[in-house]
Amino acid sequence: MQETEKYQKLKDIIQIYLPEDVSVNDIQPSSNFVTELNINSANLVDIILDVEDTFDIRLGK
Amino acid sequence: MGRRVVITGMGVCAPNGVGLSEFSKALYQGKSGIRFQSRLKALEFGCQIAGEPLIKDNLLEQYFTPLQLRGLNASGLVYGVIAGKDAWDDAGLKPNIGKSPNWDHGIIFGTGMSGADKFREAIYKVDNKEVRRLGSTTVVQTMTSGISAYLGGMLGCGNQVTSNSSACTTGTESVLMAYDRIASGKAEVLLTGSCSDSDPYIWGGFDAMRILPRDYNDDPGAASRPMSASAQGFVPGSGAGALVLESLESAKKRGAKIYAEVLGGEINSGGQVGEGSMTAPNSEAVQRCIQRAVQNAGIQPKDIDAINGHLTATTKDALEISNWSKALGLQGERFPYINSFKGMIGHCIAAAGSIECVGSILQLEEGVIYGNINCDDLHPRDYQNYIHS
Repeated sequence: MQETEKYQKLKDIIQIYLPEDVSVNDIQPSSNFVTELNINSANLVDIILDVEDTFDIRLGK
Repeated sequence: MGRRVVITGMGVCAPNGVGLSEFSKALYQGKSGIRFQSRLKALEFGCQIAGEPLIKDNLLEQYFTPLQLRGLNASGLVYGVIAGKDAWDDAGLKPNIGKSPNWDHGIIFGTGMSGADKFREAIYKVDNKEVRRLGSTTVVQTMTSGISAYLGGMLGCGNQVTSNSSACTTGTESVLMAYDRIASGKAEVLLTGSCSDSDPYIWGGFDAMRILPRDYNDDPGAASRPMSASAQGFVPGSGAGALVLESLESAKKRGAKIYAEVLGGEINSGGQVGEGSMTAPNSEAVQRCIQRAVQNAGIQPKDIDAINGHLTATTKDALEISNWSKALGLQGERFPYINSFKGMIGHCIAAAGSIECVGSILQLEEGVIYGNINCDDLHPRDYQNYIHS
């Protein structure tokens, strides 16, 4: 999988967790999920699970 | 005497109708919401029928965000949110989206067990050593207070936000708890009601006790037979009912529509002594409860036009009728009209009381008393002494 394709898939995952006032265009490779994208910190575990399922990997404990 | 409390909004997710107008129409027409459940057949239940609200997929999008819908597997929570948000909207209230909680608004919304299906998913993952893959919503979907937490967050309530749990009493109890809190001046507006899952894991225990009808799998609409001589047991149901209770002052200030006033009520327990058990009523307790409710409301038994009974379609229906009759001192022609919605919707367990409160108040709104179904063969032994058919 190409880097750009991976990045797009990652953005697709993150999009659903964004609050209404944050656009998918605000996502940058260096964005902090909680402080910059205002994602509810409780959802970080869900994002990890989505990444694991999408890329068929396990990120460890 | 406390402050006067009125009902200014309602919402419902019932097996025979979702939303007030559909539910009211169904009750008026005597439409049954009891259907065959292939899932129960596959699991080899004795009773393979149940009352389950029919929720269209596109309806969910109106109540939940795409994020909330992900991994959502708690039917009672879904019913409760639909009924609760509808009631809030019906009362002319808006969700609080400000930065500060609304201290006058709260939630008392009960259930039995929340999200049995979600809990099952979680148990499989935990036992499979995948606890880290449970996700962030397992807690809110499976805790009993999940429904009040969910609604409290959606509406921005800052007053008491809690879930009561007391089996079949849950729904009516929540209304009384909300009434008490508003009457005593501790809250202005409370969203109250209850919900119950559509779930073999909830219903299975009742099937095991052999108190559900087993001879109607081919004729679901005829299965739930309150007050009938051929009643075989209660049909399991599910859903949610929601009511907005509000101080009369607050309702007047807002110019809100007032459906009804809560004049009073009473709750007690039979103590599981004497003829009473956890499931069987103690007649002394039932009669005392009725008499005190009438007293609290400041009315006379003869003022009562209609009773909506608990009447679940078990052998105890006759005892319930005799307890009403004795407690009120009314019989024969003087006994008020009595009905049970359970013939159409089954026994919605924790949601029963709130759904049936909504139906009872719709009777006032529509100026009708909804009929009973499946009791053409009125139980002969007890009823004829007390009521006219």
